[in-house]
Amino acid sequence: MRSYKVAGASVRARGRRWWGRKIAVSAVALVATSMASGGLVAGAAVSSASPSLTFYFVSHGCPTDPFWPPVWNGAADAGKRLGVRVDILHITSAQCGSTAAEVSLLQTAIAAHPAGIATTVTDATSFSPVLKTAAKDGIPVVVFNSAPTANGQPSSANPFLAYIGQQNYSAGQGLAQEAVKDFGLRSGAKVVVVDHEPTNISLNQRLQGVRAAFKAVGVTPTIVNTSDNISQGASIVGAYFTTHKNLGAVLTLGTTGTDEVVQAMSSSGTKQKIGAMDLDSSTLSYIERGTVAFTVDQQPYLQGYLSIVELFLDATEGAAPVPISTGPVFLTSQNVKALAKYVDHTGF
Amino acid sequence: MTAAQAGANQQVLAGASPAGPPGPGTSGGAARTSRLGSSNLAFRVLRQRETGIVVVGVILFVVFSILSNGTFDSLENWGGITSTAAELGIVTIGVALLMICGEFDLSVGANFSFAALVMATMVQDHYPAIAALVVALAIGAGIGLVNGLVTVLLDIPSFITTLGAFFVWTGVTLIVTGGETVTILPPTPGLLNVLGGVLAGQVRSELLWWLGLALVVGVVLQRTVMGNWFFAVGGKRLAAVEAGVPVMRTRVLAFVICGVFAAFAGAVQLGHLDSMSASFGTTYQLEAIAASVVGGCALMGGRGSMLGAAVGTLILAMLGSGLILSGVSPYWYEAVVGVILVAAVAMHTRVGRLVSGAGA
Repeated sequence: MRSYKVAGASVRARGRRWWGRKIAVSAVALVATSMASGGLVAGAAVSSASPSLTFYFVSHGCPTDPFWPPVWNGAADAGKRLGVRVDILHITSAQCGSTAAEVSLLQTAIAAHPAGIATTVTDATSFSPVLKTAAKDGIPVVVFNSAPTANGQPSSANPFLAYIGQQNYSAGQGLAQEAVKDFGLRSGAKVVVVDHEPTNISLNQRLQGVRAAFKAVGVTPTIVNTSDNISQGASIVGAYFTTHKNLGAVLTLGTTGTDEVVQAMSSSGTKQKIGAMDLDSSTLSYIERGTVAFTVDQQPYLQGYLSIVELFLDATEGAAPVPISTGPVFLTSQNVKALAKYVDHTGF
Repeated sequence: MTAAQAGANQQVLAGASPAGPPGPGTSGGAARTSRLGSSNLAFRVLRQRETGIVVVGVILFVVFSILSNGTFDSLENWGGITSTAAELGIVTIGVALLMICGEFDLSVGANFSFAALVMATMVQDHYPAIAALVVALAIGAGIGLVNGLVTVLLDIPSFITTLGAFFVWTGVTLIVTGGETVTILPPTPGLLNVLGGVLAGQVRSELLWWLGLALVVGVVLQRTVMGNWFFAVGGKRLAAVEAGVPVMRTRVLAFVICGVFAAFAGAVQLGHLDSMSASFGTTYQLEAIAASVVGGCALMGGRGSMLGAAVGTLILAMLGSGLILSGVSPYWYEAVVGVILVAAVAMHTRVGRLVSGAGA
């Protein structure tokens, strides 16, 4: 049992109630906190005394992948606003795609016995031992962005408190349904899906969603596998565009794939109807210019920010982390201007 | 006969003759430094090369322990470090052996993923795990054999051969698996636990495989005729030919061994994670070379040891967690690895020059 100092009061932190937690505990903690702070607002009292709290934020994000900085910014911003320390750990650019590297980061984070850990879980078995260790050690863990199962539920093999992110399967369905609606696709239409990370479980879940939604309207998409290397991927897609005419739609599963498709379109001199996934500065400009019709945004900034908020409230108030769905949100040239401020601030 | 040739002769003979100078390991080690001074002097060089890097490792350990307020040397953390080190370390054994022969293998990462993926798929399809392991090792050996034959027979630099092999096997892996991660859900076969399961606490059997294999290969290198051949082929190839060392066969054999170790490391990681994908091995080709070089393997061959390679591996694994627990931004990891890499080579070169009075 460890305890965290909160404004002079001590909030006992878990011999861990992984399954079913008691609201009473959080209520007691809340009362204790506000009493100790002499009637101040609980939040203010907490931030003055909580720099002793350290949270680790672990992900499989490649440092060179433009998707990730908003996630990390979100976690860092939450840490600053709450007055706690957030250590953001990520694999090196040479380790991109290595699950063992992320598991090793998690083992280090657990050894530090922090107040909480937020992590991605990219497959069903690799993280099981470390998640179990964290549970045994009473370290609260929330999962963001990528969960071991398509529905984001914890299990006895992969214990954690809550999943904060997009349900990838339904996001994939949304992508396909939006494409059907926007591009007027009919049964038998020729549709291409570019998969820039064929080994990524999240992208595979999205792809399953895409396939299922298309199946309902009689469309069988062709999958073109590329890589994280944009110029290489663009040449693969470009070759496809020159040899396959009259495509009904070209869909991507992430920002790297979107860059590849847009580059391929200009190099092959073709015009395509593009539906994208995820959001970064280049995807945003494609939408503003009308090059890309729409994108399915999972709000990566919120994934980082809310993970830390949930861990913070758990550590200080004993509030049980709950699953939060951060997407899908559809961005088109119509609504993109309304989101400009958020987009600017979150730093992608 | 040139002095160098005489040196190679001496080393081949020293190892080959059971009635050679006392302590074949010692004298073999002496000849291996390719220096013609007295055995004792050269042996000191060999020892110092490793002493230096061991000292660096100990200093890092102490610094990290102090900066991390003791979390670094917790058993929990060392479970993670040894797991990381073991997986990289098994790949590094083969890569270091190959570097001693003066060759590179940039395809170990692709080999790692491909062999382990085939094994994972077979286990998933309920083939006996031992059969799957044998197939994986055979794939590793096959990839190594092709690398070796292409390099030796077509006289292509191994850097190019294995760079090509890296692309080929990464591509084949993606074609075969469609990029899916293969996951082995419980109940997992016992063999996977033997390979990478938990021994005690956080420490996994991977550690024993790594240390055991490094010891075996180390003994072969230091104490057998074949060990001498590897050094001779990498150090002074012409002299080795003149001394009757089967140069081509030795080089090909080193590629095969390297391939088998890469595949075995993949199998061990599969035992740890119970899952495998085409991208899991990507990190290893460069890290294994870095670990070998930090541990004192010369880029041009002829020098190196398993002890050095193991310590080099451990240093890389310690850095990853040590920096984090010391509160240093993880962005520094790669920069620090780079500095240590160059500093280690400078140290090895400097020590070599100091003792031998010539270029190392």
